Amino acid sequence: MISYDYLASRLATSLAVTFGVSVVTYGLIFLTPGDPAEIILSQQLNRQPSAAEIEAFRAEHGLNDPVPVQYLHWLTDVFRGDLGSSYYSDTSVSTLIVEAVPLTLELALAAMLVALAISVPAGVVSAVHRGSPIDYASQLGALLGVSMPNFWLAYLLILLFPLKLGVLPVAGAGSFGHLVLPAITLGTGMAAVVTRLIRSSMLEVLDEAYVDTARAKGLRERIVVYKHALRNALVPVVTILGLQLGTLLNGAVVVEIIFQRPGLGSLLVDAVFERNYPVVQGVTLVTAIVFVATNLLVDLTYRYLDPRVQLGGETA
Amino acid sequence: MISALDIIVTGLRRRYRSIRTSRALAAFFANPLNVAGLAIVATLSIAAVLGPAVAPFDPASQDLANRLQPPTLAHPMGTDQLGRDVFSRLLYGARLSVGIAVAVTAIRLVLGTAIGLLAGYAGGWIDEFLMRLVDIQLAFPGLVLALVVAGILGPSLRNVMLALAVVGWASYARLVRGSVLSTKEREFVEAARLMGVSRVRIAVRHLLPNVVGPVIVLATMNLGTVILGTAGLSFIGLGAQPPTPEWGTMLSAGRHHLRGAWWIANAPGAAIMLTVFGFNLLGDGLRDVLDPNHDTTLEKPT
Amino acid sequence: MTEQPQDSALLSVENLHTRFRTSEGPVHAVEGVSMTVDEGEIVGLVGESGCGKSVTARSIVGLQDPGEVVRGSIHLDGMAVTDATDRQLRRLRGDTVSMVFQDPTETLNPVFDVGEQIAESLKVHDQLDSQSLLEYLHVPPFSSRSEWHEYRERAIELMAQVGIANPEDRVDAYPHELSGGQRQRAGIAIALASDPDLLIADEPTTALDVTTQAQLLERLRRHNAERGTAILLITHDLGVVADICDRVVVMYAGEVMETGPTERILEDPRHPYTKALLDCLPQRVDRGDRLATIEGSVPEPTGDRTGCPFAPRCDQATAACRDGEISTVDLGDGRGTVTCGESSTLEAHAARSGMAASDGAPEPGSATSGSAPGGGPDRSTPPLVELEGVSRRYSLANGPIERLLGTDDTLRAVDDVDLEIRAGETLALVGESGCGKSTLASLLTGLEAPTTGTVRIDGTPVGTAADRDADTLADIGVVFQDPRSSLNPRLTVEQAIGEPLRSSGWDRSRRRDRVRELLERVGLADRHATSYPHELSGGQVQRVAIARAIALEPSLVVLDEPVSALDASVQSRLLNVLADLQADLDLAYLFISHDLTVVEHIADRVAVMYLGELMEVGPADRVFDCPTHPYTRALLEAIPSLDPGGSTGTSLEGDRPSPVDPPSGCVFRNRCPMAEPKCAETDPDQRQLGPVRAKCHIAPD
Repeated sequence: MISYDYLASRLATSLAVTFGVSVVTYGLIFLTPGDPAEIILSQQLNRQPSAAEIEAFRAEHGLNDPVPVQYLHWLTDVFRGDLGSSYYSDTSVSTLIVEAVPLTLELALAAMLVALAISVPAGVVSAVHRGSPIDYASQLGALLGVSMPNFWLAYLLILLFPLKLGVLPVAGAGSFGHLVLPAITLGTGMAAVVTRLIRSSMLEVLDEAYVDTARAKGLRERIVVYKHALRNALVPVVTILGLQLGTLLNGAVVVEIIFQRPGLGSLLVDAVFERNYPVVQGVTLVTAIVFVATNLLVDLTYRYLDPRVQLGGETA
Repeated sequence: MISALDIIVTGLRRRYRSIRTSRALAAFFANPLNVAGLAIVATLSIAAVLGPAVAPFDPASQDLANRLQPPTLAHPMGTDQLGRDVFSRLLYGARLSVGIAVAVTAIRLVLGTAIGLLAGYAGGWIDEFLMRLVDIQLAFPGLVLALVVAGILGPSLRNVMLALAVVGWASYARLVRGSVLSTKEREFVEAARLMGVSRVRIAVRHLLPNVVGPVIVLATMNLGTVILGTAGLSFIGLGAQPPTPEWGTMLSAGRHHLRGAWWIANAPGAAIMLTVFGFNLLGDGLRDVLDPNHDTTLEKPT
Repeated sequence: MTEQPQDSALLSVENLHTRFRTSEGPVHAVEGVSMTVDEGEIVGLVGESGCGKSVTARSIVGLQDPGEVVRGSIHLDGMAVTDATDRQLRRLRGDTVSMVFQDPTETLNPVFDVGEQIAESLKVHDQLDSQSLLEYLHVPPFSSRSEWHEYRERAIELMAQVGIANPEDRVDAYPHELSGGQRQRAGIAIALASDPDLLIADEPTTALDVTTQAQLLERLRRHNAERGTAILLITHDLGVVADICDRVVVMYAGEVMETGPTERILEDPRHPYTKALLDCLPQRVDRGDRLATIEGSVPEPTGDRTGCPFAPRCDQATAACRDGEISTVDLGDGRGTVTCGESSTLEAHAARSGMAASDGAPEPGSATSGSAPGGGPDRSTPPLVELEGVSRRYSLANGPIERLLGTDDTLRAVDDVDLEIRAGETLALVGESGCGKSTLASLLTGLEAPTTGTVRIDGTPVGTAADRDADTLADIGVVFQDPRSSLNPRLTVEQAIGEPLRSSGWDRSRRRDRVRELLERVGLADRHATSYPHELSGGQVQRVAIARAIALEPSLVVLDEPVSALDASVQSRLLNVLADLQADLDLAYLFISHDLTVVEHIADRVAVMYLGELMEVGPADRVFDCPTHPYTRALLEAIPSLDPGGSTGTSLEGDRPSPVDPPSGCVFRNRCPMAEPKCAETDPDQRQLGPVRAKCHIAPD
């Protein structure tokens, strides 16, 4: 039973946030030191542009209008699905993004799988054997994983597999083999975070009285842990996984560059260096909106994971 | 004047006693991991302060004759592609990394705490507005926004600092607001209200102290995150530019010599990891000690 | 396997030692407990908090983790629990012994519905050795839907058996959708699913209201009579023991002090501790007299003690008690055992004789203000506080859409209450949890604003705390229920008590003097001024809270369940402090409590609340001796009586309705044993019946 008012207010805030996101995204262009038109043109032409050329560029991209008008133009275009086109080619930004998304999505999902495959058993075992050598090892490993810069981990992996052992490709995209190292790089970092989360969540749950109730029934410890405790411990973890999407995207930027995967991250970094503003704005906007939408979704599914949560809650 | 001094002295004495009697300090030092974290952070701080004085070589002086030398006694971490001493460059880099981390974290902390306190204490539409700002900031994956901001501002270490500072304050605001709201509902705050204690005094005396602990923990962890972020942006090429001895830049430069001269990339890599590791260990330890919930469980083993 | 214990007891615990390792050294929770439970017997394990009774119970089912049994043995149905393998332990738990835990809000798994949790217990009992994880996770090919369905059907039967109304509906409910009483019933159903020989119940009714408690105890007694299930009941409440137990085991500081038949223990306690404990109970003392107390505190469970643990607090203790080995003496004739070094205890004497509390004999004049009980305070003066038609409603709608859809339920926390408090009197506000008594207090103190109605202090209408001037605020002191959370953990005692003084402009030295004076008044030493709350015991912290409440010399102190978190011996000391303060400072008290035995001892007048409404107000002796409202009568009947064998009378049926959707007419009518048709039609008016005002159609004039 989801409260309509909660739903309405949650949707309203998500819309407000999305609007704010669009303002910030559009506003980014004004951070440019100096005249954007001049800078962009000089980069495009590889020489100092003439005043006439700058004027023409301004007219073409509507840069002479007052800022709010420019923003509204941009926003109406965005609503029509038109994110503008790249300064350097006539390809539309949406096409560029649509081409890049599958590679990033593939990487993110693979990394998520790696992360869950490591973190769920590690976190549970660590919590169940609290204070044992296994626990210390897993805690230490997790902490090292959190502290590991993923660009360095990527180099270590490249050093080991393609260079020393001669397996797996160094860079590129397209085959399953190309996915392995990037997914491990990105996944282990996330695994470290999630392991810590599951461990502390499990520890809390294992102290709960209902776990003793389950034991007192005569249930096997395995069922007590994996049915009664884990189910409860996963509730907070799932919400955090939604937030972890951001971390994943952060990491994807670096990993895509190192492994030369033409995904969203590479697209963004290249665009930033070229000051290709329509692409920068497009990618930023899309990632932020995806992020907002994911968290809205996670929030709304929370109800089904934890029956106690009456979304919006009663104030009794 | 003297009485003011007197108040401060007794205040400090009391504070010290509260630390001692809460057994917090003893609990902190009982865990070897906490001590290890403290040791790493202390070493790093010493390196940051004294590094340039004790470094055997100038970080920028090239020695092409001795380029790509593996580690030796003279060059404990070898030399890079331009014959510069990697160890000396690491020491100089420590000062950069720590300096940036402290500066960025300080900005985040002050900005975020102020916003969080205001939102939590004022409530109403001010709270609503500020929290939407927080949501907007959090809607952007941190590094992505920092990357875009730093990129547009132009590659430089100063811009990286700015970019990282504007993307990290929201978590402080959220944390502080949350603690203020929950503390506000506690009975001792209600009791103070009923005794006619002024709003300002309630905020200073009852709310703030309960917020400080978690903020310190977050800031400690944040120091590590900022170091990772700075190194990451520099690695991409948006931060420090060569020949600045920044760890991320150094690592990036070493990537072309992975096969032949592994030390160039791995020495800064290990330095970054160890540093971040130290801050995380310390933060974990502080969390155990400063978290009030933990304090209550310490109190009685039933 | 160790050899069979000497007799054929179902449970026999022999010299049990259970210990916890902590960072500050080992905690010896249980120090040599020996006891037995025979088949079909109900045994009460009694003691104050921290005496090791719960740890003993948990050790019996092998749930002592993270503690460990370091010495002694436990035999259950012939099986040595301490040496049992995991598999044997599971067999015991699934077959022989079951456990019901204290807090029903925490003992049911929040993410599974009740039916699932009971069905699981049934299934475990049936198929003890074939528990596959996938089957219990309901993974299709490994788990049979129809089989689970059968267990669910049986779960419904079991739910009906433990008294859950509409079990067919409730079987799909999640724990949070049930009331506290229903949850505990579900917990009992889980425990009974395996048809155990021994049911261990750890404070099963402590978290529940007194009427619900009476229902549950009745269920347990009936189950014992019908199925012959032995019950080990762990409790701090001697009334509960008297109500249902055949035999009692009294524990103190991890050791057994005395055992014996309930009747003998209550009538003729031999151990000084048992005697002192019984003497602390307010029901054993006449109204207005001082309560006996036990001075000192429970020794630290560090394990390096010698002799009798009670010796430091015992006024009959000899040198031998402090150092020597204390032997357990069998009183013979099935009268139980006493573990005491002082031989005089072995002689019989009457329960209430001797045992002068170290607190001293009742001093003349130190009785509560009502020196002429029933006379009440002077009625000629205007009341200190007056509530007129005060209501507080909360809207449950989350926003405009629900209001539009008409789902904006309102919760009536307080409904049209008229009440006055006069100078110097103690008015007790009683009722079960959620009846609105704390909300009423918040309206009075100004933490909340009434939806309708007026609050007057000294005849002047007042608003919320924020609107009141300093003098009005100073006129009412407040003591909250949980003393720990009402004191800022970061302030010393002196700072905490000084806070109200500071805000009314007292300077440092005046504050210091006043704090010293207040500490002395509440019976704390000067040295406590510099302590932090966590360095003090629960009783001491509550004294600090009281000192703070009276710092500005209020004429009224609102006490919200001030003693309910405390053990009996600490509670009696605090009640004495309150009585002294009232006599010395001419304070009026609004004493909020669910514990009628305490109220009977301390109150001049009593106000009874149910579902936000005032059902009856009147002089305490009249209300207790001859209740007017049927609800008051039911409440009084539900209190477990200390007279052994004197089982409680009729108890209320059913659960309290939701304050969101109260019954039509009189709110009590659907549980009222005397309800008539007109009760459902019209809401009764308040009627003055002699000294009592009651809200009932049918109460006799």
